[in-house]
Amino acid sequence: MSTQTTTREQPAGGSTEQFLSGKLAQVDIKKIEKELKELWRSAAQTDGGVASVTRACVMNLILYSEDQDTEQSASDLLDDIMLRHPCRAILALSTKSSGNPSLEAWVAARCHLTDSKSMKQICCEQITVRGDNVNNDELSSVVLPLVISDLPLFMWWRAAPLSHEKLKPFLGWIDRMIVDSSCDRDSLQFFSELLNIMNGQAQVQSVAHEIPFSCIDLNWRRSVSWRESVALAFDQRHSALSPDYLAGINNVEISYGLPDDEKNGEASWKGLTNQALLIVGWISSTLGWRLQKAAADKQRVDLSFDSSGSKISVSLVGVPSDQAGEGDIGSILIRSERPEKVSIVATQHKGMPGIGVTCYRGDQADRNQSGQANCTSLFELDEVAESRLIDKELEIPGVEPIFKRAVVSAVEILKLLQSSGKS
Amino acid sequence: MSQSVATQDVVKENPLLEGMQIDRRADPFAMVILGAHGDLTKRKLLPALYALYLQDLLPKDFAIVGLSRTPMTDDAFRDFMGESLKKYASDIKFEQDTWDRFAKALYYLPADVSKKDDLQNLSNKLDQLKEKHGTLGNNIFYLSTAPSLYMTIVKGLASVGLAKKARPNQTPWPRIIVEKPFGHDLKSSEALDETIHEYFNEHQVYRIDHYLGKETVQNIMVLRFANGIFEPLWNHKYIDHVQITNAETLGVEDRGPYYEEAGALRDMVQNHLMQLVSLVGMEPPISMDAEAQRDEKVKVLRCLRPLDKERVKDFVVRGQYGPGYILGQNVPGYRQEDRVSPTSNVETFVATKLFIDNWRWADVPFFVRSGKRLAKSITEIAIQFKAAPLRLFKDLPGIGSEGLNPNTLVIQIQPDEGISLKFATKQPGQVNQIRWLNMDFKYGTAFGVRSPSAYERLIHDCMLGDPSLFSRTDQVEVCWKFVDPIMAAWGEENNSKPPKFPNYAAGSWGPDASDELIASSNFAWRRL
Repeated sequence: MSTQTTTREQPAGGSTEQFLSGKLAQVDIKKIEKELKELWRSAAQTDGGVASVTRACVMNLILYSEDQDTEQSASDLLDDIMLRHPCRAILALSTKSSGNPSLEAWVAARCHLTDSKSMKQICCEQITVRGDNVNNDELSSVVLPLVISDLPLFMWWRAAPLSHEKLKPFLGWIDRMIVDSSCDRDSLQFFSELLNIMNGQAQVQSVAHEIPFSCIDLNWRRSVSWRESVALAFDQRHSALSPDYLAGINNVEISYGLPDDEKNGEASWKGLTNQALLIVGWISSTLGWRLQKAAADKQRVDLSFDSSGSKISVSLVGVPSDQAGEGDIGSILIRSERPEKVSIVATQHKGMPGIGVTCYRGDQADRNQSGQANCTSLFELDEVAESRLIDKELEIPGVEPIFKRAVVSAVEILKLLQSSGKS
Repeated sequence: MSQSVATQDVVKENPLLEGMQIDRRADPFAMVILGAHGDLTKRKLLPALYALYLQDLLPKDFAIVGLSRTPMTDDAFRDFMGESLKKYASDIKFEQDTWDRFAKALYYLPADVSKKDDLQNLSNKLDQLKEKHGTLGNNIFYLSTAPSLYMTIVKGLASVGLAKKARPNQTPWPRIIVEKPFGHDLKSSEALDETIHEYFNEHQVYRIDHYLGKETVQNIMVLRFANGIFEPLWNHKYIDHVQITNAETLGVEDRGPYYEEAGALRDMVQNHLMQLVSLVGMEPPISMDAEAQRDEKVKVLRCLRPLDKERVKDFVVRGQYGPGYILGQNVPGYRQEDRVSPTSNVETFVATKLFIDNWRWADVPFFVRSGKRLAKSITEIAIQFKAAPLRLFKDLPGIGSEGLNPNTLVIQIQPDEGISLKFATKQPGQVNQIRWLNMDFKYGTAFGVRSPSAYERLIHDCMLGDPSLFSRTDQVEVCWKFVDPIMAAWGEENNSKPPKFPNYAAGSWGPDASDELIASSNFAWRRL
């Protein structure tokens, strides 16, 4: 069955005013660039009461989704993102329905005033391409030629499950890939697929790309403040503890949030521990711990590591949603027994402005939060709104080898959990 | 602005910090603003500190003490600053609750800086704040007073134990921020430095030149040294000349007495414009380390061809504005301004032709001008490249025997921070015709985020102990060495043959002699 493409006669879809107002105007799929050019040309000539328009673009951003209903929320997100990162945003929707295969496209300008005095508008463009019942080879054949040459291409994969196969048509073009493990309940499949993409693409890009390909999980970004608070707890410029205590760590407990409606014990650890697993992967790979045992039961995961002959136990424990958002971290407890007994508790409860880190020494180390604190500090919690997380990703491009190591460790843990037959 | 990646040494000690963007968080501190009732505090310093607070760039423990002779309570000072913030910092979101939290760390001390008892009170106050706000005894003294009080203040602070030398990384630390002008001439600058260095080591001294905190000024380094395409062209082979313009529509406002002492040469050229010359002219530093950058800036300034008194008139033009029109308003001449002598010979305009005698810049003139009450407020650096060597298009309409215009790279510092490159392109159509276009980059357009103010950046750097964007003592010295002969020549001329001031109307582009100066080298000022 051949794919239907929407074609229309001139003039270009919608009026200039409609285009500049941000309303999506349907355009001929074969003439997207041409119609965009026409709309911009007429926008530039518009005067007499209408604010002058400047176009800005520093990157390309493809947002890929398979959810038909994502259009409005994605448009709002792109609006927010384009304010800080002027870009050509392409919303690539791959949907399934009972109809014939079809491809449609819409365009809209996303404008904001530079200041109220000059009334100058800075505008970016959003192109929406919806492929219904088409494969990604077809969809990408429309989307990829729309990428502006010589500007970096970011792709935000907003679909589950993560699929290397579906991504393939796009991969050769992408400079940075953004995924979100919080949307995926099949942890092993997600992280394994992510690792495939990172490994496979690393080889391709080393030949073809000038910019090193990189891939990042928004859950990794969500955990930044937690990782910083743990790392800085062992940094004497910020805390009372020295890095010497890292070698003496013998116990780690990480709590993660259960879903709102499943606090009665129905929820499984699967998918919900993705952020926690990345943190464990990060600590264990960085400190050179070797995984020995893994077991899971409902909302709890128990792991055992070895470091130079010392045993380290690690637990991931589900907590009700009033202590942590679904899949988010609620607290991290780390105990060390050398050079002396200490414990560090990093906690954040809903509504708290940041992560509070408290450390206890000697006997107090066992009592954790009940004893007198020897050192306390407060770390700002990064904003977790999706658009802010994306902001960060767009601001700090570059390969993150530490993230890859964390993913490798997470996959190792998940495989051992699977082979232990309890995953 | 506030983050850096953990260094290898730090990571070796604590591997968990690898790859982490760590806040360059300042130590707890107390800042004493001397001259807190002045314009600078309400217009710039407090808004900058509050903006840093909003961005969570101040440490958890800090205190700010305003000090001046005007009697005022802590609460009155807080209210005064809160109102000023609303009035002068329109780009900062004012929320009463947040302001109230910030204002709890604001204090005021009425004091005469020449009285030891008053400074002893300051010392006691800082001791109290150390306990109350956990400032750990780290103190920053911001000299925002009349420059004539600087030495008195430094000696006074030392007399009560507040000014003392500290080793790098030693805590608690005292630091001092000195607002320009750093002295009145070379001799007074050396005397001031000598006094300061009696009680502070150089790494504790932050000579602030707010131009260096501006985003576009910092971008000059990035433009030159992070791009591969400009640096090969950045020399006498490809650059014809450089024009640096600082034009203001404002007059001297209420700063008549200060301006009568300073004049445009001391107020703008000796510091701000020399900074711009050094950034355009410097060689690439060996690293981004503060001293490496400052070394290169000093090196290029040392290459400025000295002007002896006899040659000043051939290379420097001075002017003073008379009455005229600015944006449709009739404005008085300089001599009619408040608290200005009606026979004043102080210059409100300077234009100069400089040469940097080194391999890179041999025979490339730098034309620098700065003036008040000019037609437009604008600060920019224009790098004019040499024209194409062969006049292939000389017969095209509009080209003429002079050939094509040259390419120009313009770094706009204010009001619209950005960069533009002028180049030729063919006009669409059947006939060959060339049009000159500007390829523009504007900070406000390309980045949707607010740029921090220059004072925000500089105060934050001082809190962090990073002196990269502050003037070092030898840089100040070399700038004074350059302008001293000009001042001496003008001083003699004032006695023998006083200048015919005013020599330009407010709202114009300065005296005719300025156009003649640049025309003598067969160039013309850019039409701005």
